[in-house]
Amino acid sequence: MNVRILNRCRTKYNSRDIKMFTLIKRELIDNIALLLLAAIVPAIIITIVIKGVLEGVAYLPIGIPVIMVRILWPYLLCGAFVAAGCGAAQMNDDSQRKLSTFLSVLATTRGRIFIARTVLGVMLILIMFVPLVVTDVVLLKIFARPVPLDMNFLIRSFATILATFVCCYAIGLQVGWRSSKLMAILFGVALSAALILVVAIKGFGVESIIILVLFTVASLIWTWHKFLSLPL
Amino acid sequence: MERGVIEVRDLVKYYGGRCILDGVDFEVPTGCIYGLLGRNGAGKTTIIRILMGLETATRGRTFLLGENSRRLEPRQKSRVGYVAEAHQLIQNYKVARLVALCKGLSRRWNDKFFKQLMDTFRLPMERKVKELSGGMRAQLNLALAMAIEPEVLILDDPTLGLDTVARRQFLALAIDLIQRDGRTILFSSHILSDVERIAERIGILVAGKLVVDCSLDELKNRIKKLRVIFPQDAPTDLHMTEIIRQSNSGREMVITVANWNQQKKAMIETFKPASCDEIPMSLEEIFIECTHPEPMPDQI
Repeated sequence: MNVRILNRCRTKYNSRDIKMFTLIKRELIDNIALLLLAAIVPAIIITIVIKGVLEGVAYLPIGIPVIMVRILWPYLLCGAFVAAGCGAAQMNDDSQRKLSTFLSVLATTRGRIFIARTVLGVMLILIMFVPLVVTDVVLLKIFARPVPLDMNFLIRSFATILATFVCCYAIGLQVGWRSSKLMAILFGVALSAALILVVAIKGFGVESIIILVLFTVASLIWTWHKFLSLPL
Repeated sequence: MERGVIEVRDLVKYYGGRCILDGVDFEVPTGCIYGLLGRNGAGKTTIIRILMGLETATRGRTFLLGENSRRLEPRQKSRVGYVAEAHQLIQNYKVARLVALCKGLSRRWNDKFFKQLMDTFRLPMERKVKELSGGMRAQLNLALAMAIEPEVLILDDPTLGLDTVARRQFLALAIDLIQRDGRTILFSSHILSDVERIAERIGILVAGKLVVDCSLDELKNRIKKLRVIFPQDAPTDLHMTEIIRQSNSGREMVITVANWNQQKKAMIETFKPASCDEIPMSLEEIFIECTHPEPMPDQI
């Protein structure tokens, strides 16, 4: 008896997982161009980092190659704009092609559609973020440093960059539900520029991260609520 | 008492200050085919969109399969097939991809039946949805809705925009599929002959209000159009309740009355008419009588 109940539960969860996977797969295939764009950004930045390091390594007093620090800002700017643009494009595509209108009458919920969309967003952010971290860590391992490495600085920088990407993506989703795709993307990028100012003022650190996390949570809650209640 | 499969309770909807639905209340029992009629902008699509959870109501509630339609779980949605007005499918998908998506999201999918339908419709799987004709899109939409073997089927003006041949083909197949399994169906349409062929129960919406909600036979029995000939000029002082339309021309009076009964008959007989004949009415004529906003200029 218990085994039968367990099997029924397992089937139920498997079926739910499969449906979620179908939604994520759909997002992935539909937004393959965005994923490619997200991969191109780190590729360019990494090329610059490696080129800079190969030309001669100059270290900061905290044991980090100068090029790695110099590259943080361009990486943050490019990544943030790409994240915001992708979020806005994803949401705008839905509104223009009435994807959710079609999907939400099938055996799924708006909540799941939104979760599948954000899963793609997370993948997009990781595609941009992970290569930077990996490259930096590998380079730091390869090249001997004259002074001890300040890991704390590196972690704070990476955490700030990640928080900025996530926040800009969330802002992109929030502003994406507009009639014009171009306007949605531009609006998302403009708001991202304002968010980047927070990092410029507060620097790479805990204060910036807290502000960005608060913005992200507020933005995601707003978008979630809007998406769940909006006429499709 | 068993609740209806589809329930609409005191539904009110405002759009930008304009009242679209004004306290609509009806129920579709299990196995019933309900035809929802109304002129453009009467609120048919709005009711269906609220039922499908695509729109929120300003007031009132809607239930599908006993659950509030705003909070339908995938389990319940998997039992509902929906054919949207203008067949809003994902236009840039290939048919095969759209089918795979629907199949992937469904809980029940009758592959054999779906293939049968696709063979009957001869739909090209490798073409994009936007490259299909209106008729093909309608057929694809119906096939997708039927493949999940729904207990409830909601068809929102499914033949809108189709030419006569495509419309007849679509309906012939839809009627066949619908009648095969005794499903509960909510069907909205402008084409009344279609509704008359399919529906058992009729709801007529006029300016956001449901003015008729009864079985088709009952509707035909309750609304009577009479040609009354009087010995002299037709009287102008016939004060009867529920007159939908009245026109006098010399000795002849043509009158359409709702809820026709013996009292109303007796009231006409007090004017001692020379003859009183019933004019048979099709659903289309009943609909026109019920929804015409005001009497024609030559009518009283």
